[in-house]
Amino acid sequence: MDCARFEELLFAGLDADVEPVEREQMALHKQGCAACRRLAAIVAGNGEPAPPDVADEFVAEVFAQTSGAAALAQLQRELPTLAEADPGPLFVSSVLEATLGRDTPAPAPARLRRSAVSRVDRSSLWQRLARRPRLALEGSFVATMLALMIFGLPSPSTAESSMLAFDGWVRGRAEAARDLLENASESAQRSLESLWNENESGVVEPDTTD
Amino acid sequence: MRLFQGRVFGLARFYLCDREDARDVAQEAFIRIYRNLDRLEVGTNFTAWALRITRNCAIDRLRRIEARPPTSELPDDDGLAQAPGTASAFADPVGEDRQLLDRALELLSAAHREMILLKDIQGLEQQEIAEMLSLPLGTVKVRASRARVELARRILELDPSYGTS
Repeated sequence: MDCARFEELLFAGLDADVEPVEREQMALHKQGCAACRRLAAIVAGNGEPAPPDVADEFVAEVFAQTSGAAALAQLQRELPTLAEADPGPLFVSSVLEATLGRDTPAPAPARLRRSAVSRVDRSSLWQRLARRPRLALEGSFVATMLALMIFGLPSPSTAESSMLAFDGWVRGRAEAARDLLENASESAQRSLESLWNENESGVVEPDTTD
Repeated sequence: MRLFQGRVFGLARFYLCDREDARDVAQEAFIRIYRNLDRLEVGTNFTAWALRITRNCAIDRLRRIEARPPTSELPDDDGLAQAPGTASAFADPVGEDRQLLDRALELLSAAHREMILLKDIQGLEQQEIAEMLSLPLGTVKVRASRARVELARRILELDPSYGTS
């Protein structure tokens, strides 16, 4: 039995029974072939970790004995060329048109979102911005500042009248204080004169008759 | 999008047997990609992720058009017992080598054809294929090698001189 037949029977055994005679032949072949032992281990492991590219090595070993090696090499060159196909010139526009009719997409990474907004969702840009909480805060701040500038800060005329009022108040308080001091002074003077007069009237002349 | 449209459409057309169906699938795939960008984790291979979405879209479409002839190839409950379809169903002008490849691919089992499509044509890593198909890594390794051998044998049956010229 050669390696190709062993491989064929090995995989056939996954789906159907293999004749006992062939099983014996496979066992004999496996004893003398390290590559087939490795392949059988991979298959029997049913998903167990296998050494990297062991199966590829096996394929190479098998096909090195046949013309398959050249065929594999050409396949390796040609198959990747089938990866891409041209969907036609209108494909991008049709996708963009379909995308514009959909709900708001999930937030994308900044790099992608920037390009997506600029290309796809331009018409709803203000709606998207209006839904941003940060924009609401920024708007409130600006509105507050404008209100303060218009109504809160004193205008020159208002400042002048305020200063005049303050000045009048200060002057009034000063005059009141001055009156209070003058009254207090007059009261003290009167008290002093009263005491002086009482003192003078109560003085006893010394008795000189003795 | 222009960068990946060829890959996405290229994958879709292997699953669908009709060019317009493939275009619809590719369009739906891009819409899903766009709407799920926030789920793309850092470090994820974008190409593999996009192709996975494309494959899911293609399987969904195949299930919706179950009765469409001539495909008896429809996905079973496991997701893909019969699909993908074959590229020869398209009217694209192709060279002689391409026609030979298409005919050989038609002769493969669906599972092997999909392995060739994902591994050798689209160039995905075996681990990525294992995750995409929900298969053990070991199974993918074996199936990938076996599919390649089967394709080489089929193509040599059709043209014994293949690879020697």
